[in-house]
Amino acid sequence: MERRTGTLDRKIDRMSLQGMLLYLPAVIVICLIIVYPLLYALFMSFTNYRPTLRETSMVGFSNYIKILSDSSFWGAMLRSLVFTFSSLGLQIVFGLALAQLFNHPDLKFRNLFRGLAIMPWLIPTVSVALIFKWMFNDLYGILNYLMVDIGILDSPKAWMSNGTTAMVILIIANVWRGTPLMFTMFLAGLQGIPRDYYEAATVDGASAWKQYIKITLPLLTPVIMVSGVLRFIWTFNFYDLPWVMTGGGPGEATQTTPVYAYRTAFSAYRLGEGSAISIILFIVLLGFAALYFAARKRQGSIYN
Amino acid sequence: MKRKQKAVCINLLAIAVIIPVVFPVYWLVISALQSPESIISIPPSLFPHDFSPYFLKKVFTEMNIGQYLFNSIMLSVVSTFLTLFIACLAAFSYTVYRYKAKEAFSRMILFVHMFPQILIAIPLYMLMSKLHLINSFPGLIICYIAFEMPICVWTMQSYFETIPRELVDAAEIDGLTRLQTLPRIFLPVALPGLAASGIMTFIGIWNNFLLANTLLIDDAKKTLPVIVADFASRESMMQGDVLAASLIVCIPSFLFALFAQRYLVGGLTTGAIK
Amino acid sequence: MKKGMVFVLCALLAVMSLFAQGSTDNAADKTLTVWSMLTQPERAAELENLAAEFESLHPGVDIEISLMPWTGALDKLVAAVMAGNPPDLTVVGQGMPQTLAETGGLVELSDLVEEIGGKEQFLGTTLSISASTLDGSIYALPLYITPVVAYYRQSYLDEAGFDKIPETWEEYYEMCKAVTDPENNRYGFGIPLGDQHGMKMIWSAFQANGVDLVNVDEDGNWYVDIDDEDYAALVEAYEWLYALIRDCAPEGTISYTQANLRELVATGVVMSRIDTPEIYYNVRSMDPDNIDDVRYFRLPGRKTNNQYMGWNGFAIPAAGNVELAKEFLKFCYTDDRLVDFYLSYPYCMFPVVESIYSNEHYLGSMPEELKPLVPDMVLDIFRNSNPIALSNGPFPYAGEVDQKNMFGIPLALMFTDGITAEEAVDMLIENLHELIGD
Repeated sequence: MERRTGTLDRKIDRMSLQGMLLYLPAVIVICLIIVYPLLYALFMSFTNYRPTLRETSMVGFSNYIKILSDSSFWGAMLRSLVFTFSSLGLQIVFGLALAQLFNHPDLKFRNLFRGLAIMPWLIPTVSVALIFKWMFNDLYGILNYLMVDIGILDSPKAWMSNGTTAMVILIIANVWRGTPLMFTMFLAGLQGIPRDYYEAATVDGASAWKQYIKITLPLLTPVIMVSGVLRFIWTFNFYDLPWVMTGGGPGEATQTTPVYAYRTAFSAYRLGEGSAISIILFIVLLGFAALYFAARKRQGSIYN
Repeated sequence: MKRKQKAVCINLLAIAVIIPVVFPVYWLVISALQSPESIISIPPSLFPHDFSPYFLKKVFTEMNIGQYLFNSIMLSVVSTFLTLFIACLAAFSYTVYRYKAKEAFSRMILFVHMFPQILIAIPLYMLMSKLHLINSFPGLIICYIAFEMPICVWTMQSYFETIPRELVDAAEIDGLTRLQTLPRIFLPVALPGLAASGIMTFIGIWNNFLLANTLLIDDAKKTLPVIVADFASRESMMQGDVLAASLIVCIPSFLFALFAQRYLVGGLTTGAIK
Repeated sequence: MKKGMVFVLCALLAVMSLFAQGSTDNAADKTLTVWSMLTQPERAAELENLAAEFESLHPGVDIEISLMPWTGALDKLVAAVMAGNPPDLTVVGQGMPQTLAETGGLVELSDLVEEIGGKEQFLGTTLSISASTLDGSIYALPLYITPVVAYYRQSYLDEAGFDKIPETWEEYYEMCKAVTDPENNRYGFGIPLGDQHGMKMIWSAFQANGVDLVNVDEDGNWYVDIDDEDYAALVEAYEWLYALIRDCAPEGTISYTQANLRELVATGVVMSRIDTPEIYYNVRSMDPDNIDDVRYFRLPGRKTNNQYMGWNGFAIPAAGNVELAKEFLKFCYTDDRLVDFYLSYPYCMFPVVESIYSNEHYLGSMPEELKPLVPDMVLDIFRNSNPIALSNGPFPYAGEVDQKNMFGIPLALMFTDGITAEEAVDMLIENLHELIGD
């Protein structure tokens, strides 16, 4: 009896060990790329490290104080919020609309339309930035001339030279880029709603709009919430598009938080400050992550 | 409204809606293929007819885009394979084995998924410099593996979970070790998942800008997106060069869209929902 | 037996390492690694020629030149210097010696300068921007300098009925205004405020109006040196530029990069800007038929004749093969050997040593477009030029002022946020204070 248990225990232990070992490469990579650098950043944030200085010394919290009292930092945070809320809001609205439209039973060539609708996601961010810049160019931009022809504008506008309009173009580019993801998600969500819900509602005399509000939206809400927080985190910290499109300009008008972080750290090698920014942003991330887990819990509870 | 009228409306609406979605891509392709005179014509025409491969040729010959194309391909392929390998092991471990640390590991994966790259770019730069991994492909590859892993792990997990317990047990009775069930039973079933996550990973790495920009310094090692952004600020570049280079960066995505659409949509769905 | 083996192994290793040391020493003595950001084929070839000539005079020596673009070059150098394996010799750009000298990784070059003929042979302020300390330390040898000039197109002036070369700021404005015709896509003026290259014009304007901006005291501490007169001069400069941009430039100029604007000037959309003669390269490739039409003049001075100047040089990392690097530099800087090098890329590279401007071969081989410039106009420009943010010496934060676009952003904000010129100047001064930490 004992012997059999012993063998079983050993087998279980061996299997457990094997399981852990299989997962280990993934864990090691994560520790190397996320955990260790974060700890390193934490340490370095208390120094005045610059690669060009001969000696590095500890400076306590002065980096943090410098950043938190820098109006540029708070400006960047605000701009990130504006950028994120606007982009996400529009992405959700358009994504929903597209999903509804391309899910319609009367639509021909559905697969073609759906395929075309995911095109924007395929284009690398660099190209998106450059083509939107070109389309809105004050001298040669096609969209400027189209708008003049239609009558929206009197004459071609220098969109990138004004802080507000530059942000508008940035948001438009990001909405264009991000809507396919929302669209795909909503499409899957829509297809997961049983048809009989709608049929029953029609029998009961509910209009299409009412059906939308009472059936579709509530059932899609959990999905929106969960992936919404995630996309919020990513969009808030999105570096590629603002950097290539405007570099934060004109002036600081499109300097969102990631652009601010990169500029501070790398334009003058102030890596001690850069580390402090990383840690501050990490704390902000933790706040958002808490939101994410709360949202996920709620989604789980709806389905339970 | 009559059913037929409604159908026509819907189709027209769909066309109207898809135009702004597709237009920037159309404009990118068109502009890159213009001749130097027509690209700066005022006012620009919606349907130009003056095409020329001038800029595309120039970008390949004068600006040596071949080198950067090679770098991007090599990095993407190697990183994708390694990511898939590590992800399969992890997904397999999670699905089939039982041990205490399982959930903790899974939460680590979720954490990485949420983690924005900019947060870690600065510390990574410092760390890689210290370890002399800066400006090296291996250093960059490890970063890519870390960030692309979560999607792969979850995709593979969802496929692995569809395999019933009885099948595994039966195989083990037949003499397979548990480990051997991975290549014999799980992977064959999960091939579509491999394809989908492989394509997603490839595109994600191909399009990556931040990490490549931060960690690669030598011109010869840079990837396409980094070079294209660089082009835009080089003093001897014309707008046409920049647009042609931008177009070239899009090629793999276009190819995947043409030939592997099914996997793309599947991959997108998993990524979006999770 | 075991102990004996260990002993033999250790002895072998020791001997081998001695040999290895010896051989690398020999190899190291004879190799010179050079990093060059002068990537254009013509001047890269000339640098190779110089290297080949040196190699033939010093048998056994091998010079390896690595080409790399400017982007990221400073990063590479800093990383290499910190890691202890820098090149033996490197090209450096504006602001770079200051940054590199801080690391302690560059060799001080005063004695080398004496050996090649002393400080006096170098033009104007070319030597003084090299160092980052006050006591006259020199951490880079100037290689070439570039003047800035103001362009115009003769045909545009004729069409507008403008018949004189501007000699004051007001006349420059008049000229640009007369030519501006947005309906026909023609503008008189442009400046790239979208990146840091706009600094050339802004610094020229500051200098021309008598402003020094920063100064250094006897203890080597830098401070912002702006009195009421300077303040008024700064406001005036910003207001002049504001009017030029508002009335004579395309709206997008606030976000244009150097590349955008060069394309516009080369195709004739923008007529005038303050820039180096390198525009001729762009005109040659984009509008070659009109190359005769594109001309230039000296930017009008105001209180002074000072203006901006581009600068490039050579620096010697301390951890490299210092002696060989010094030998090579001595070789290059004697007997006008650099003339062919300057001629290989003439619109951008001008000699730093005054004597070359009398060299017949140099003068005779000038491209047509540059003949009016060389030698008198360009010597006049260089004798009154300062690369960046200097007053009475080399400014250690020059690179950062450049990188952070500290001159251009206040001007851009005058348009985007509607601040006044005074507020723009206040912002500039505040940023300078913050940077220097005085």
